[in-house]
Amino acid sequence: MTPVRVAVVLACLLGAAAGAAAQDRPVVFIHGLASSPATWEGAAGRLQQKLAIAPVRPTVDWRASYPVQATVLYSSAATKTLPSNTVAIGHSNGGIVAREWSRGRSLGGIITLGTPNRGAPMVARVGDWATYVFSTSNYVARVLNAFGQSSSTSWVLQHVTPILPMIGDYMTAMVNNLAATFALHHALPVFADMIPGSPYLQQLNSSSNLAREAQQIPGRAGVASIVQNFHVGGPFRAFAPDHADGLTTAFYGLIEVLEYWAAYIIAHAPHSDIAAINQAQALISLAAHLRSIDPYYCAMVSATAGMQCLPHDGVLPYTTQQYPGAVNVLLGTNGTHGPAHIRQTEQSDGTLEQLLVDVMQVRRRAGAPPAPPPPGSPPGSPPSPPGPQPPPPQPPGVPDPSRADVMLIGDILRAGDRVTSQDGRYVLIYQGDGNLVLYGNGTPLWHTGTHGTSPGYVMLQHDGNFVLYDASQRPLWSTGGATIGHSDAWLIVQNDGNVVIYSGGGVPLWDTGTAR
Amino acid sequence: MCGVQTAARLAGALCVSAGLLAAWASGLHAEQRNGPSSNPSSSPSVTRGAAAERGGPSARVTEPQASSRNLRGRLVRADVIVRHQLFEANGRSLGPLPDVRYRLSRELRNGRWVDRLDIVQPPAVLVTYPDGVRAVPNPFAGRGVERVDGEDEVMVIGADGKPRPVVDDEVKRFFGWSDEKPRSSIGSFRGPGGSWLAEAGREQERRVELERQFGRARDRVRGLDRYVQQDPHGRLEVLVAPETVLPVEIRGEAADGGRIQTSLEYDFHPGLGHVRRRLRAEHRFAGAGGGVTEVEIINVETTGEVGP
Repeated sequence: MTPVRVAVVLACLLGAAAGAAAQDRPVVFIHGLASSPATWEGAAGRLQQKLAIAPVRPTVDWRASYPVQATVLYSSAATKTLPSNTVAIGHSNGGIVAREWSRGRSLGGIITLGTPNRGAPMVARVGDWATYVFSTSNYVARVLNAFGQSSSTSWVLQHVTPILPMIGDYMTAMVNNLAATFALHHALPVFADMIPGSPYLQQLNSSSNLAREAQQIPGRAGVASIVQNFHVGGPFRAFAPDHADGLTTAFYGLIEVLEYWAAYIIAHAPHSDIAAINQAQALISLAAHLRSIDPYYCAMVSATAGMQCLPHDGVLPYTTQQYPGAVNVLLGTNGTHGPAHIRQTEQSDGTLEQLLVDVMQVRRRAGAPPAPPPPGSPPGSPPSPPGPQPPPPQPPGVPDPSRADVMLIGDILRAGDRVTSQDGRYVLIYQGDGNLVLYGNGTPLWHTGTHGTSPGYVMLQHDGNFVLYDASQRPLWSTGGATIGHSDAWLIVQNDGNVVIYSGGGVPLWDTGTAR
Repeated sequence: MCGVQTAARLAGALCVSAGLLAAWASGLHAEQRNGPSSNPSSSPSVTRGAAAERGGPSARVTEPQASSRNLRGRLVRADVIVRHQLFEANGRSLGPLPDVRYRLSRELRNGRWVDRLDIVQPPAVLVTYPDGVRAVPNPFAGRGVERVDGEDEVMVIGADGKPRPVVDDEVKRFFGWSDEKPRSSIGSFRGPGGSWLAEAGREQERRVELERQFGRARDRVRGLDRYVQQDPHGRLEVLVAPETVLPVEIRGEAADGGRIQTSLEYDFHPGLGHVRRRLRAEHRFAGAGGGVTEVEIINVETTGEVGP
């Protein structure tokens, strides 16, 4: 084939691809709280293989109120010129953003996926949850105090002692990982909107607005999910769903051992041994307190008050996920189970495909799909031409190990070491006082709170966990659950001020929540 | 982040809790690494002739030391029901939690005493479905726990009836825990049972033991002998029924303001003595909420027809 003929064929192919892309239905995939467009990367690509859609994955400011988040969609080059038959699919808060977006422009359809259409009770109760978890330390202290008195069963403490720090790790993970996964340790503007019954949600779900949506949006659907075994190990299903069963099993094993020793003392200690009675009571109270975590967590997820437990996806009860007035699909009934909240964008392909075809009238693809456009670009953009390319956007992509803004598996920071964003404005530094601090233009934005400890090192471990050890090799801080199990993880100090750990596939696993 | 951001009250509470929890967990890990030997209370201490076994796991058979007289009426089996309720600092109850019911037993197996705790009724979570409230069981609860006296390790019996480690490798990896096995000194009671039964005729022994711990009774309150112990850490007060010399109320007050009150009830078995029936502890932590834990012991079998 001559060079001329090659050029002609290529031109025809490119033209055909561009033509096919132009006929594809634009579908805007909107991410939710503490997330990014990367969460939709896999699903959008897979759906595009099967359906005649042109995916767009914009970035919204997930910290902002819902109306402010929607403003980005009005003004962004990637979304402001989209045709009126555009479909918006929003995960979690992204679903509300889609509904908000529809107030100012025409849309062909909206699908909400795991969306707090009627609010997120957890937001209102997260402080209660933290207080509850923290009170565990009171129960542990009571055990230690009880065993401070000599008794005929004082030796039992040596069996209990190894268990107590494990419980501490569990509790720390239940607070820290939950907070990190959903940015709950911040006071974000969007939280006020998310509380059930908030003025914003009352207006959004008012009869007048629902009537407008019914009139103006031809296709509307809500997908709600109930995760398997939602009623036990709830916190783990929220932040570490892939490990939830194992974590729950071990957690109950620890409780059962505490109960065993309490019963053992009750059975064997002499009646006049007052210290032993106190020890047994302290152990059984700690165990009972730990057992109460499941009903308490479920209550926190389910409602803003009381102890009612509703089926949920780890974060939201199914009731609030349902889209008022729309076609609603509930995953997780009749012996099946739906995906956990943080896995919904990856594990809902079949449901989304069905809704896009049946409710949104999207065509199934007959031929090969066009090459996927880069993230954030408008639909119909032609594939990138060959030749020299500008530096890849951050993220995704496998980073160059020589870059000063990234850490790869096995990389270590010692006291004084730093990782600097490409534009030099943000610096993550492991200080001589033992604190790992992120600075933006000289201002501290985030830190691990480990100041005053003897510095050891901070390592992106081979299991994906980013851990700070002191000089005695004691782990003082770690990213924990969300990153563990990702042996291809990497960390980057981004130009937007956020420090993010991504999987090798570009999925964000953890971040400092400091994007500017 | 907690110190940098201006957080709302709720977020602030979470920040504080997370930080303290992390510090607490870290401290406990440190204690575990250092070992509990510096804690005087951790030394094995078994009184009243029940010798402690030391020196790590042993394959040798432990012969029951109890006399045939002691066999009579000693505990063999009992059902234990635990009820727990939490309340917040403002006194608001979070509601009662489902009961947990156990079967406690001690039996001779191949010449060694085995204490076993079977979970008869694992707590279910009450879930509100569209068609009503249902109790949904916990599929991850084990069947129970058992330990051979003198053995180091407590075995959790899984839902499949097979022993399993308390913590498996997946969880160790998740938390970064080492494979190091917990250290422990072996302690145990010998014989078919401990002291479930407060035998009639042994009142004086119990009084001597109480006075060893507390000194002489200070006075009488509501017809009960009041024993008091006070030190810089707090105050402990025990009310004892004079005729049986059994404690019926224990009041603890920590120096930090935390309080606990435990009441004890007994069943009387004619010809044998008293058996613990109920322990109810109400505790309030300083500056925080508290809880009520009640342990009820029923179906106690004290025939003692076990052992060689």
